[in-house]
Amino acid sequence: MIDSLEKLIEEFSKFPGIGKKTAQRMAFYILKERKEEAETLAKAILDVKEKVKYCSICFNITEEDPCVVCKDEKRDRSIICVVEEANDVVALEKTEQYNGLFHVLGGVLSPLDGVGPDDLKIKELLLRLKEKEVKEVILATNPNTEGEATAIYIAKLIKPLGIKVTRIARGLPAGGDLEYADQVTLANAIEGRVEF
Amino acid sequence: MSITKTEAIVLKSLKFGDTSKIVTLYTKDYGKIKVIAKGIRKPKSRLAGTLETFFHIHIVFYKKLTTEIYLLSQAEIIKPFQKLTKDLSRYAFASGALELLDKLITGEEPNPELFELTKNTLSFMGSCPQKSLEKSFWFYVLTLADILGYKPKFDRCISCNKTIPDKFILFSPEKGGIVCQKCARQDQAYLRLSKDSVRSALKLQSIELDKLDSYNIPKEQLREISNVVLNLLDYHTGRGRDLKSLEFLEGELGVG
Repeated sequence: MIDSLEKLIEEFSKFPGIGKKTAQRMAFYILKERKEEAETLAKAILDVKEKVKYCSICFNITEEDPCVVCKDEKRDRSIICVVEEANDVVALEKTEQYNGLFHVLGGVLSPLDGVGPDDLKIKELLLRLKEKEVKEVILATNPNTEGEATAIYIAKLIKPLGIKVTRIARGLPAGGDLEYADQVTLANAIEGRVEF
Repeated sequence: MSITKTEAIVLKSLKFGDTSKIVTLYTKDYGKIKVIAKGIRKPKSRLAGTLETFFHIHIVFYKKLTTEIYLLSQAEIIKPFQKLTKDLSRYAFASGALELLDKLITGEEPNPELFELTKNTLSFMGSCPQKSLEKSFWFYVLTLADILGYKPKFDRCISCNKTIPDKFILFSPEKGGIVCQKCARQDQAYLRLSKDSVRSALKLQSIELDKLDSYNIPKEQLREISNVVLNLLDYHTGRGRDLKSLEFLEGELGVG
């Protein structure tokens, strides 16, 4: 087989969820495409690697430092939402319900994987809280074992600073069914009920 | 293929594909198994929220002889042990217990006694006073070693079966017990324990979990016991060292 094609197949098969067969199909697609198309793709890949970096304030991924959110004057600077990964920022931005700032931890505390507080951007968060006019921190880590432990750990560090700490509500999904909800979710939904 | 029901404790899970997870469970009737929970990461999944680490659950799955990963069809929470996530040191010790279990158990082999021990230890760790946490962890490790057949001998010399009166006592990871000065050989590696530590270890081997609170073991003794037990397990299984949860405890919380 042709070496260069073989190499391309091998590179494609490194992608998550892409097996040898799919990689082969992708490689042949590139082969048939016009040269410009292939160049655009190659450039897009390089651009991502060269231009995208972490915001020095919130550690979200960005092309310019500080990121768009941190720079935006219209945003509410008194409130910071703490999330695990950059994907979570995207998800929260989609809701158009939140107008504050973010802080991306870059993971969660997980003793089983050897991830401790020093591996996350927790110190950086505390530094931000000390110098800025922050009044509230929303802990929006995932509602699972690791996320919950991380939220509790951070809450413990922030509370002495006299800043309000809140946790995102946990409960039933839209369009869900009470009957099929597990007891932990249901218990949380009852506990976190709000006045109607 | 048969539809099978059992009780299980969730050890860990791995994201798989876009919406699924592969979950490692320690079950009452089948030992350690892996199941795939399809679509569990979608918020509307019926399985969502049932397969978190530490959860004691009831599951229904399709058991096949030809696969290593079974398909999970239903999961229901029996007890979530939620208190374990409300406190970082509880969380870390409980993680340590499950990490060791996961490391030492390699395949499907039913062991209801071990299942009960794990379940009860997690429950204890969620409600015990802080000072009993570390004790309960080493209680778990010692009992685990006992159930798996690596029970270390602390009462008499493992070679000549005589009681040892010395202030400091040698322990042989190879033989799995304490050794008196006469039986000790120059060419072998031994660990040193104080007499008090040996007494505490004996107590940990015989005490009931719910009486653990009333029995006090000083930190240095726990440290000596832990050193001995981990070396013993490591010598015989090759998998007792490098517990990430313990490194976490030492590094982040200054305990362990």
